[in-house]
Amino acid sequence: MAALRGHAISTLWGLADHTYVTCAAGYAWPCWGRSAGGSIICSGTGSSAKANCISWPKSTAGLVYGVTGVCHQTANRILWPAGVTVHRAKGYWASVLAYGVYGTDTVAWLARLAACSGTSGEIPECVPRAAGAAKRGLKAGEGETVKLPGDAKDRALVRSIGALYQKGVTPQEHKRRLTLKSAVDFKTLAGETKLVMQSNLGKTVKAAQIKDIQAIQMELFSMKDALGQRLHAGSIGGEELAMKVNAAVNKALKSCLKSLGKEAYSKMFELEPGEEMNVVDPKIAAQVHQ
Amino acid sequence: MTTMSNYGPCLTSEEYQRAVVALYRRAAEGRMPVALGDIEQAIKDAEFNLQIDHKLGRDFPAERRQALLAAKHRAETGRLRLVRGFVRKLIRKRQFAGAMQLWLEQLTEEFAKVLSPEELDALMELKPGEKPVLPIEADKL
Repeated sequence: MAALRGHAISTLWGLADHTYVTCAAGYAWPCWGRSAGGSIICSGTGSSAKANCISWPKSTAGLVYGVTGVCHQTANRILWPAGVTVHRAKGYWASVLAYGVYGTDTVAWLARLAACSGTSGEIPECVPRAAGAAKRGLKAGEGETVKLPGDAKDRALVRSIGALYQKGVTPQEHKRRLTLKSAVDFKTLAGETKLVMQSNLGKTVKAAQIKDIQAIQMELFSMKDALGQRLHAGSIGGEELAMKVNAAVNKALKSCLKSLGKEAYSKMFELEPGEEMNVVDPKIAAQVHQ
Repeated sequence: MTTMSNYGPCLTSEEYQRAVVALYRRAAEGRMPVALGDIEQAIKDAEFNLQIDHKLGRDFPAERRQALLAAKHRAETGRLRLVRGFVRKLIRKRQFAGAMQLWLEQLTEEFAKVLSPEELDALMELKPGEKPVLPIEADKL
């Protein structure tokens, strides 16, 4: 785990603080403003990879500046893995009154948390080399002794998926995403699937197999998208949604087994052929979607 | 260290922070006993109550809590109107930043009808006579 820190800098007019986040190795999430100077006002340990996932895109953490939050809410979101907030910043309670602790778009924030829940470990920028750490005066436990969960392959995959998502910041890609007819961004997901398959199966994976799995995944997502719409329309409940999604997932897994063969299938999904996978808990779904 | 107020012990900074994180964790894990449509309001209200526990004391009277919450709910309509105006480009950046500041000051005045000056300063962490300021910089909008 990395040490994540919230910083406060007095703004020009001196009435409220700007806040930003860093990890002990020195990497900074600017949260719309300056990312140097000031003082550390909170610190905790947490996954920098999760913090980075939450921060996307461009250290905004999905907030619309001044509309759904300001730098305080942005810093709080990025600090979520460490479980601390920038509540000692000047002007904090005023901004909390206007935007809440994590921004006014609570449901989108919860969705972001869910989307990043599978992310763990550290980003390379938050893992200082011993020499560099010593130069920066870091003490033990502040970064240089961080042990990375996962191996180099995982880190490479996280980096390549990160690069895929960073495409969102180019004007063309941004426009494409804005004009999507579906709530699911199939193109990005297909790219992600390709990267995961290449990482898990190595060079043995065939282009035709990647296409097959992408097609199976698209069908699954279309079905899930349609189920989501029915849920919002009130024609199905949470429990029914969970059961239908689980059935669709298991059907998709069977199709994947057929395309990949037993060995590659087990390597790809870490499942034995025929092993059932229930990804949505009907009880939780029923409770959440009352 | 726990401090005492006129309304019993206050949540310490750490307790407040832990409670807020736990609140969102419960919501993220679907453990809040409210329908999805009501979750936003439920979280915001719980969050504000924790701020009162932290700044004014855990035994702050329920009636006055409700009065503060009601003022906050009324003000939210105004904030949303401003945001809609800004998003539709009916309000310029500088006007929006100024209007949001004014909105905050009006809400604080509403709070002042329920709280003593000392209580208001404690809730907003202000020095005597100081006005609350929103850290919105118009050029970043």
